[in-house]
Amino acid sequence: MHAVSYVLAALAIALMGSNVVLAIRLRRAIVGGEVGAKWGLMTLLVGVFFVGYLFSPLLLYFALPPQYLSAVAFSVFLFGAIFVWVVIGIIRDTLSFLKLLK
Amino acid sequence: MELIPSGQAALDQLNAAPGVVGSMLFDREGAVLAAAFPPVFDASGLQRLASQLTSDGYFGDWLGGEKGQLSLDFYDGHVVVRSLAGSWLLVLCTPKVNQQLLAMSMTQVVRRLRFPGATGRTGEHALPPAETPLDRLRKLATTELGAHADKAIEILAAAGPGRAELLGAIGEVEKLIRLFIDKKMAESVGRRMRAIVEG
Repeated sequence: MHAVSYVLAALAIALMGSNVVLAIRLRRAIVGGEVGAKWGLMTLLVGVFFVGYLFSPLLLYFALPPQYLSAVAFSVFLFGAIFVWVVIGIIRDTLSFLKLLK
Repeated sequence: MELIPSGQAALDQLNAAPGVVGSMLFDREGAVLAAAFPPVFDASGLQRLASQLTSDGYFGDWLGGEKGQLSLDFYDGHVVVRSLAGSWLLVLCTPKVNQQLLAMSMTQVVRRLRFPGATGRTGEHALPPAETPLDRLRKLATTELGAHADKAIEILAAAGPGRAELLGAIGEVEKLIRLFIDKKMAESVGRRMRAIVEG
């Protein structure tokens, strides 16, 4: 069962690594403004997730106790929620500028 | 068919808008002055369409003057005809074309076509030589935004000549700069643009 988890972790790390590259490239292309600031925060969160993903196989390897595992899981939920909030903000700003909101 | 190069360039620009299939410019005699349609639309068919439209008495009555517009929705397409004092611009679009984007693109192209020689005509099409507030706003946008001025100019071009319309467009430009470029610059450019319109 652990082998499956390691494979999933490796896939997640690879995907998140490419996300980091994409986010940084786009950050450099964005001139600035409110959307630029939000994208900067989003890039930072992507970086935080990537670092977390890198360490995730260690949780399995060292068999982290359940109480710590819960803390890690809920931290991921929290950062995930912040990430979604930032993404929604960027999309809302863009759509409102394009007047595509009802 | 004698095509007008600058009119042709304007139509090519319009065709670059998403959802626009093709466009043509024709005069009151039914002559096609410029056309930008995919090869599947043959020139003789376009010529025939222009002739039929201009030979219709109602067409001339409804779409005379400078600001007449006819919008036709079909199951598989959307057609807009816009008058240009003596000539007409016809645009064929897909049914899912974004109406706001289309309106903006058309306004921009119509302004371009109104320059002397753009439609092969002079006099009534010519813009006044004096610098209008819109010209000054465009200059300011180009100076301040440099390579990022295109969208701002597009917004300004889409606005009508009235004070309220220009102020609305300035608000949009300010929002564009605030969201995507710089908050302080947005305030500064917005203030200067309003001064042009109000002063």
